[in-house]
Amino acid sequence: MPKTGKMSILYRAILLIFALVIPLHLSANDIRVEASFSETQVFTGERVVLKIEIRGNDFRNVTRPEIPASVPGLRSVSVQPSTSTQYSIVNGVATRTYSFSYTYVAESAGTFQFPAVNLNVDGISYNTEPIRISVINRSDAARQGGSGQPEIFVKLELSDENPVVGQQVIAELALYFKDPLEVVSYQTSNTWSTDGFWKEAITDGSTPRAESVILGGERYRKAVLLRHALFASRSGNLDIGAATVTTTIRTASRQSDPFSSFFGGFGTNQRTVELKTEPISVNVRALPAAGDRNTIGAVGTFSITRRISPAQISAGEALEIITEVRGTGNLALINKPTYQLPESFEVFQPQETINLNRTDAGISGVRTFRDIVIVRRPGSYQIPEEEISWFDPERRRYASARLSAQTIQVIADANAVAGITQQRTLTTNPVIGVVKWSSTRQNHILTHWWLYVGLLLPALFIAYAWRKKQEDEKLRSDFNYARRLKAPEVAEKRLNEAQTLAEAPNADVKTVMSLLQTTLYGIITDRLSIKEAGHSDENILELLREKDFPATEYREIEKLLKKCSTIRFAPVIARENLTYEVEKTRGLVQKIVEVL
Amino acid sequence: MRIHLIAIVIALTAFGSELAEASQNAQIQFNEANQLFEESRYSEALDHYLAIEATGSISGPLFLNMGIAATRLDSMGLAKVYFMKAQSFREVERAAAEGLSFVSDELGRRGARLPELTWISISNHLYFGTNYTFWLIVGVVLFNIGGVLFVAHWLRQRYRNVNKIAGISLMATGFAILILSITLSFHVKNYAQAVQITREAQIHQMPSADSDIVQTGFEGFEYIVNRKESLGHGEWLRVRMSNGSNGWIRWDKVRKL
Repeated sequence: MPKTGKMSILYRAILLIFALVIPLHLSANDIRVEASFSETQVFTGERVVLKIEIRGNDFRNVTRPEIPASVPGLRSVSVQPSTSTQYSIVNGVATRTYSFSYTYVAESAGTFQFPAVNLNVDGISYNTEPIRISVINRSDAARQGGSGQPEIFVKLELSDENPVVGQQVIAELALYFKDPLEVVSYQTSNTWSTDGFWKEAITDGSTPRAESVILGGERYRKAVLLRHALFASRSGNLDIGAATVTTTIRTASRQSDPFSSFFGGFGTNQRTVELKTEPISVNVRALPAAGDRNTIGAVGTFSITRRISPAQISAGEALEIITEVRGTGNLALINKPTYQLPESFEVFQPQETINLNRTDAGISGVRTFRDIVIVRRPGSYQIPEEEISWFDPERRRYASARLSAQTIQVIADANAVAGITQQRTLTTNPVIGVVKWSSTRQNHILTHWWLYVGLLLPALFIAYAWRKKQEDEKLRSDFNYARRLKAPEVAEKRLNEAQTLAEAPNADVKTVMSLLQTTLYGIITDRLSIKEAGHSDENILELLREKDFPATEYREIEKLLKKCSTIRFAPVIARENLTYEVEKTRGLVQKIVEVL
Repeated sequence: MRIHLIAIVIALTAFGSELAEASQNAQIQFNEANQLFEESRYSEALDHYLAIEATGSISGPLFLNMGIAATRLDSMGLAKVYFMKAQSFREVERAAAEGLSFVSDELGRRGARLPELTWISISNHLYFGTNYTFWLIVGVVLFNIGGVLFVAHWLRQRYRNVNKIAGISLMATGFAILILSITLSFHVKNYAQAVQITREAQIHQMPSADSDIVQTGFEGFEYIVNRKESLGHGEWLRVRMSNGSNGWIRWDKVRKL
């Protein structure tokens, strides 16, 4: 077991000073273990070095990595690994890197995966990520050769050339150069046009490392000079302009060691060249329709949580609704989620913080929205459930996080000093039980039937009364009219009198018949408005004839009048028949009233 | 004839049973809503109450409970609307008045009050506080009494002149009340009373958010909505405020009574 804690006193002193003077960003447990090959593309027969690095600011004991005995496509040529220690200070943080190096020879063509390697650091077990390595058959590459690529060039490489709006695209400005060349220095231009994109640099400022790659059957060394995360702000074809890199190169006098510095030493064949990338057109797709989802403009892979604290407060105290959006994507561009809060909540200006991690894989981190809410009134309030959606470009669909509902209890502040205005509470309780229901249908007042009855009734009444009044006035002023109108009444009166006399046990036949004659004379003269006295039977009958009196009734009247005239001299009617004569006369009177 | 009678009886029975069923359903929903209210789930209870109203069944207790639920949700504008509606039902008139008083105090505490002009107050009373059916009945009764007295002056000599003058006066008054009630009831159909239910809303000079702002309205403010002028303006309502200002407000900022 190699002892890594044997630092010199000087190094210990330097580290102690850094620990006291400047804040440390790395905790004692912030140890990273990484494995990498010197080249991920090699020809058959070439050597490749596996390097396992342990980075951290404070670790002591590291065990030797558990390297598998045989690895497909590779043959180990070193029994014991070589080790090295390196110290660096980045952003004021001192970091120690301890590394193990193993040398392998690429034996057979193909793509292989070097498995994860386990080792212990200060008693804690760490695993590296598996690494892929491509071994190319040299003779095959030679057959495909003649790529015509220049000795040195720059190229802009995008992780996705057909992204959706807001999707994170990693743009790398890569410098390719052939092995005889060494790059002494380089300068990238600041006028790299990326209109339509929000651009965030993710290069940490460290010296780029060159790795060996094979392009068109030829070996190149590749160094990523700049790395940006781009987020398209609109859909359509967006152009990324040409980037310019000015480099000073020289022809190396010796074959570079793969892990030698990217920058070569001083030499005689030194020259400066200006390199330019080709502009790239990126077809940015619009986001699919979100429908009725509650989106916040997020595109990436996220998890969203909401916590509300505390769950119980006193009236007037502040409540925090903290929403955390965590993940990889356009964190800086997302909007604050909106919640349906009870109206009594006084919402103050929300606070927003963003903590971004810029790594080679892109931008990740956490964005926190903190709503400060004050509730003035005691009670139980519910903050309803919400479903927040974002677009996941990897799965090419919307993903959602369900934020559960939460109930907040707001209690009255017992210690609060009573204000000048006394707070009122509504003491009215809701009505429960059976209630009387009615319809919302409202009829216009003109649809009430009684309105028309109420208007028509007095009109009819007045009309009737008017007629009645006219009649009364005529009765009073027109004697003949009055006689004619009252004739049936007078006749009826006489007939009743005759009836009474006829029904008497010793009825006088002459008196009754005389009364019947008078009745007939009276009704005829009254209806004809002529004088009642001074008429003979013939005269009366003549008047009836003139009025076209019906023949049958005429004969009846003629017969009755004759009987009345002769009865005084020779009574021919028995007392028993008098009632019959009265009734017969009554019928004749009715006929006279009808005709005259 | 008999067939007609049977058809009428069947139709009336069917209509009656339909009404009874509607009332029964409303009562079941009302009980469920009350249960939610007792469990302090005011928002859900209010949704249930609203669903009952949407079916066309209404009652004083329904609007009263809606008003109380709205106060528990601290939605004082909405509570005002429902208490105002409840006030027109005799059985909950007092409770609704108490609720309105509470809402008025709460809104007053928030400091947003709008002075009401006298003529606006009169207009409000005339338009929305007048029972035109009652005045119609008064008009009909006066017209009929007048008619009887007028006829009496023809038929009876006693108090002939008194009957004549009283009859004509009462008939004329009754008829005038009738005509006025009918005319106003038609006129009022062009207007509606509305209450602002959002905390703040802008009253614009024109039916557009880009036009000049006439005034800012606050929760609980009462408006007279001109239905006729609002027609054809989509989401905008032509309103008159209590201080006499005219303008346009978005429909979702207010709730009509």
